[in-house]
Amino acid sequence: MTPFLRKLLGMNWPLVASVLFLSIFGVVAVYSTTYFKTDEYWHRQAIWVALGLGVFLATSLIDYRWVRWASLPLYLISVAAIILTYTSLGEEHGGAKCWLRIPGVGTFQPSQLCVISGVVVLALFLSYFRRLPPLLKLSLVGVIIGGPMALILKQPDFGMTMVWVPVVITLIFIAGVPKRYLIALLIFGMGIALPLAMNFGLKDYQRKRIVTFFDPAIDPHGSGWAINQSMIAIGSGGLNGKGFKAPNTQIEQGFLPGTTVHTDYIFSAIGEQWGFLGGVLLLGVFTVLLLSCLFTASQSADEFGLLITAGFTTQIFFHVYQNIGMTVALMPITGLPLPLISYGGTFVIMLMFSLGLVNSVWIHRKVVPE
Amino acid sequence: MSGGASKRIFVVSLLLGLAFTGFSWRLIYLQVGRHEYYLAKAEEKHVARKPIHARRGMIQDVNGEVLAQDEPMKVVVADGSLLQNHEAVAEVLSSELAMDRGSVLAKLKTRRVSKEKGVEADPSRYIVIHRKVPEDVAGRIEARLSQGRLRGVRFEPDSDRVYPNGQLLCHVVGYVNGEGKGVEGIERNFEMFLKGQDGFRFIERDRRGAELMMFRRQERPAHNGDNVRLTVDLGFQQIVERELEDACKYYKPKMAVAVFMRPQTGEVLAMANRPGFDPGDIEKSPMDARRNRAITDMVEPGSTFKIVTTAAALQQKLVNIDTTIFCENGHFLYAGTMLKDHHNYGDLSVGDILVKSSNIGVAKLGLQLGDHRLYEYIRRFGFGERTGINLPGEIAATVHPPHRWTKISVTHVPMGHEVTATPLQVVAAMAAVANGGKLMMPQIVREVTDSEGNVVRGFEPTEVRQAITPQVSATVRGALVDVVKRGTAKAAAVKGFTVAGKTGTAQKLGANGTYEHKYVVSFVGFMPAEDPQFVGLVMIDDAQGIPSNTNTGGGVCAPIFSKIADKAARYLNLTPSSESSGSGPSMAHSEPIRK
Repeated sequence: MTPFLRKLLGMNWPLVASVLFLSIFGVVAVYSTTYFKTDEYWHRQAIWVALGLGVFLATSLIDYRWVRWASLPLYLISVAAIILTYTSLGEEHGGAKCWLRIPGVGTFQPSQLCVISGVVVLALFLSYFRRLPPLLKLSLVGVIIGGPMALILKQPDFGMTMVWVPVVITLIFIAGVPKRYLIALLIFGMGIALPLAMNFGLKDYQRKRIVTFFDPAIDPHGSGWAINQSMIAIGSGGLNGKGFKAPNTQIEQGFLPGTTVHTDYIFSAIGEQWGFLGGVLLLGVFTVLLLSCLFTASQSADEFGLLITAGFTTQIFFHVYQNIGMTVALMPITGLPLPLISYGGTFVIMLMFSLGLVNSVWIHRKVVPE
Repeated sequence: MSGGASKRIFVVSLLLGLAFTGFSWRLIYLQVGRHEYYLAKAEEKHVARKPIHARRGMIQDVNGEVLAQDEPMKVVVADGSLLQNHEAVAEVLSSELAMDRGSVLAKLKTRRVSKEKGVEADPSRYIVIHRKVPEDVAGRIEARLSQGRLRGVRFEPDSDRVYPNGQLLCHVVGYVNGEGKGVEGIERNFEMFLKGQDGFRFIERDRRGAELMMFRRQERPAHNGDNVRLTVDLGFQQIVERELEDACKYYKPKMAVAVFMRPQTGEVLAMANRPGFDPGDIEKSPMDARRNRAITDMVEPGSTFKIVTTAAALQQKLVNIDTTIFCENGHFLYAGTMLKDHHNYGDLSVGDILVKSSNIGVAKLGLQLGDHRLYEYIRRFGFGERTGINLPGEIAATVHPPHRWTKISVTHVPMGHEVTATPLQVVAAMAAVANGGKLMMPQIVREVTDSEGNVVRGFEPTEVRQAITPQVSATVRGALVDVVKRGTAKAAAVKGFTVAGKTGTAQKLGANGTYEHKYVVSFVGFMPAEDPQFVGLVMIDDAQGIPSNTNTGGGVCAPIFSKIADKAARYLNLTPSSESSGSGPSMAHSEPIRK
């Protein structure tokens, strides 16, 4: 058997299967939320998924250790791109200037790339400098990620900023920083950073969103509008749902804002059309995906592999947690897409890249490096 | 891998599992526990769904002449909350719409009714005063209202189906019901194409009823219906309808049918029935008048069916056209039943059996063929099955299989008794004789085009099967020319052209199963015989006021065919052939003998 064929057959099949299922289900879900307006969205999503699957396959077959060399340049490029969004090149969607217009290609969200490459850089740092004193390690981690986080928060993109928190905590937890430091960090975060951020870092509407999260009924046409509509959509779906492309759904009538129903609120549409059974099936497949990622982490050949896998897993988990949590009013509203399901090209490609790396960690787990 | 890392991974997995379990619990709470509550919320209508009307497609003849189309109309709607001077508004509306002033006033004062509170004190905000108001009337009302500074009446788009050609081709075109859905004819069979798709716009209102622009909803433009172009030529149809109408005035039959078709392709050129109806005003016509008898009625074809028997015997090479058959001098006893001819014949050639329409001759051909071969040819000519024309309600009529025949069937079936057929089946079978033996599927629709004129669906001529060989068909054609030249159908002749055809006279079966003194008479033929341009059938059911010896296919229907064919030849610009001299005109235009 050639090495190539061995690699191809040695993939993490539960991971591959769940990636395939989720990305195809995503195209169907995007179609079901936009078919009555235009075919443009799901056509584009289908193209992105096709490209993304190519990226996934390519990244899987390349040894993940090579990515070390690319990580720092990519990270710097993404930070530069975030800075560029503050200039006239940045594009605004719904009040947040998070996108960069690349002439002739389309728009691109650099913060997505920043998180992915940030995970790799942090993994590289933590695996190289194991022996550093914990406090110094934590401070250096803060230096690496502090700048980009502040820039993303100022865009303003509260959701993407929040993604960093669980990712970084998981990385330092896995990297073996003693628990007391972690607990101290959490207390510090809760006690000092959060009130500060609430008062100075957040825009008015972001603050309002967090407030209405605690009581969505306060003002049905104000900040709580979308969340109320989302709960109505999901709740009226019931056990079996109203059916794929059912007429007169909340989605078709446009109760959920038409600009976000195929992105941030896509789970509401899934809940309405496929009901509890569909929602739990989706959660189940996400669980398969995340557990197979974590199993890969536990089997990885070196600490670098372990850390990037754990980082990506946490990132995907947080996206799922935050996005679904928002639609069922368990989490405050932030504009985080549902991985592989929500419409959006950058995110699909980035996810496929990171999941490809996870698969690569699995494929190359038995080979000892250097 | 270090044991520490594995343990930490396990902890992370546990947390993950916990989080997702939390979600599942939340979903159960929302979707199962509080499902009823949210369902009720979803059904609460803050939203008005405003339809955008799609225009139903047109039905056109082969040249694009319009047979049915939608005409824009208006619905007059009043908004009670905006009405101030009810009396003055009622005055204007009642005079322009020709309605009773009191009833208009009562309508204007309609109160709001809701499910929860019953009749409320607030006036209704949506009162339909009158539907299908022509645009010019709506315009006049609008002008008068604005002149009097009266508020609270608005006009919404609506449409009405109009049939500019009235009764012409009504059975083929069909009609629509009150909701604009096709229930008969092309209107029904092509509903899918014609109806189009209404668009809509969702508008959300706040409690005061003002539109919330912020939550502007989905919008979908209307998709207008496709147009259906028939194969029927309205000029030809007009000729047929006029002659049929004249004949009906004269004979006052129970019903009459005429179908004309292009034999090579099966395209229906004209299809007319009496009684007819006005598709724009269906309420006034009885159900019976709305039936397209050319495809929904079964009648015994009678002598026209002899063509099938003769063609079968020729194709099986049992006889040739000149073989003589002894016709028993008009009385033939077979299996205990006496078979009779109208005149007593001795020896007749096979061709002359058709020319004289000898029952005994054709019965003997049937005996030579035997049950099974005879049945096979009947089916080959398309009898006993639907022709497949794209019109609703077509029947297959009845041809019993040989195992259900009696001993004498083999002598009765050959002359068109004990079998039934629709008029269209007879025409299709005759077309096969005319075009060299091919049974063509009758076509009524040429193509469906969208509102921009792109062809959505085209229909090609379809050959069902080769019923008989071209040689046999040519031989039978020759005999059929003789039928018109010197046989039972002399009255069908047309000056300048060679007509071929066959008459048929069938006694009607009464309710108790015995033959009554009522006749269905028909003529089916084609012209010009050398190069048939059309094949046609004229059938008159129960002609009144003439002696029974002239109530025959040759006496009643052949002259009608002749008149139609004469005018059609001019309409289609056919070149008269030099050889044929019509013995026709004097016969064709002579009045049938009245009692």
